[in-house]
Amino acid sequence: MDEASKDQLGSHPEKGSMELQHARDELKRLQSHLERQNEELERVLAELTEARAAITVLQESQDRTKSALTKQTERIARVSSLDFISILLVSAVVALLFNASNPDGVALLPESLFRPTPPLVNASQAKELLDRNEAVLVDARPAELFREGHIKGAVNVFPSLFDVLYMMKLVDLDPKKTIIVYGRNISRHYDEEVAYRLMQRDRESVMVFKGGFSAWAREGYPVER
Amino acid sequence: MKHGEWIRRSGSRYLALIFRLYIGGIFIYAGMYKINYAADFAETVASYQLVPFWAVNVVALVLPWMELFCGLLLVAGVRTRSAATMIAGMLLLFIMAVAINLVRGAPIGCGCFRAVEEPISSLTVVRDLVWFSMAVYVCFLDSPLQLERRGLISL
Repeated sequence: MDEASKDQLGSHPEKGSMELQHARDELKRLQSHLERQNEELERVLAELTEARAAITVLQESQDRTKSALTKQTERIARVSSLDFISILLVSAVVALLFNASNPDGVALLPESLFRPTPPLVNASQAKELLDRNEAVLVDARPAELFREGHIKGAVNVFPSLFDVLYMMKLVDLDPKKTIIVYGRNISRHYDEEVAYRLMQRDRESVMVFKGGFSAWAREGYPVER
Repeated sequence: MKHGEWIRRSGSRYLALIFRLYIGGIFIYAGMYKINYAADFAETVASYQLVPFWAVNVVALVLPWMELFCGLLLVAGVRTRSAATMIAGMLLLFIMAVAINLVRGAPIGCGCFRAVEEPISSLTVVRDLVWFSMAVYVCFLDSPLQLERRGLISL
């Protein structure tokens, strides 16, 4: 405090005291105002921190969703072996169920697999029987294959028209004669099917010549084309 | 260049859509007929002389359903690339089967849609090759109107 102020306070002590009091009040008011502002600032800061945390969570969530959708899009575009297996399995299951309930369904495995194998002959044995006039040859393949080439003297009796063809070609055959059936490929054993049906017709002797037309031709025996 | 990249760059998405619906429709039609006549179709499968005799009926039963499901998936646009790949694979098998029997000179019908059909010829191979190309095109090129992609396509 300078000399002039000291003199002034000394000369007007009451006035000086009042001013001092007034200054203290003002200081208190400012302090209180500052405290309120500080509290408000702290509250704003807390809210901002909270908002930032919420934004971070939302951002992460958005990133995760976007990543999941991108993965899903990529998965859709990808050719997957799981899809192949699924389509194959579903097709197989539906096919089997449909076939089981279909009155015109087919057997899953050929019935010939579960029947006893008929007696077999090879080319030379078959030729011998034919030469002795003790046997007839039946070509069990479909007509179009028979027409392409067959063993000389064979008659064509195939499974799909068996009953009709049997009545036409074999019904009057001497019951003592052996019937030698041939005709098979990788996909169909026509010979076994026809042999089975002939045995059902009470033919005494039915044999199967597995080698068929190709084995016969390889031996150089007569064929018709 | 990556496999099929040139198709992606130069191809049309709308052409892919047309091929997708066409091939899908053909396979639905082909499958539906054969499903109802399994015994006839088994004879067709056997006539190709490529499948072992114990597997003929199983193939004749399952194959038409595979054709039907793949066709439906292709038309609906669900698992499109997988369905198109499977159809392309089946067509490749059909082409090989027909080609082998043409070389053998076997007098068999195609059996592609009906049990009794005109005999296989080089035209059958050409037709199947065209369908195979369409399936490959669909496989490599994304097409619009796919059920599975609704809502994801904008990403």
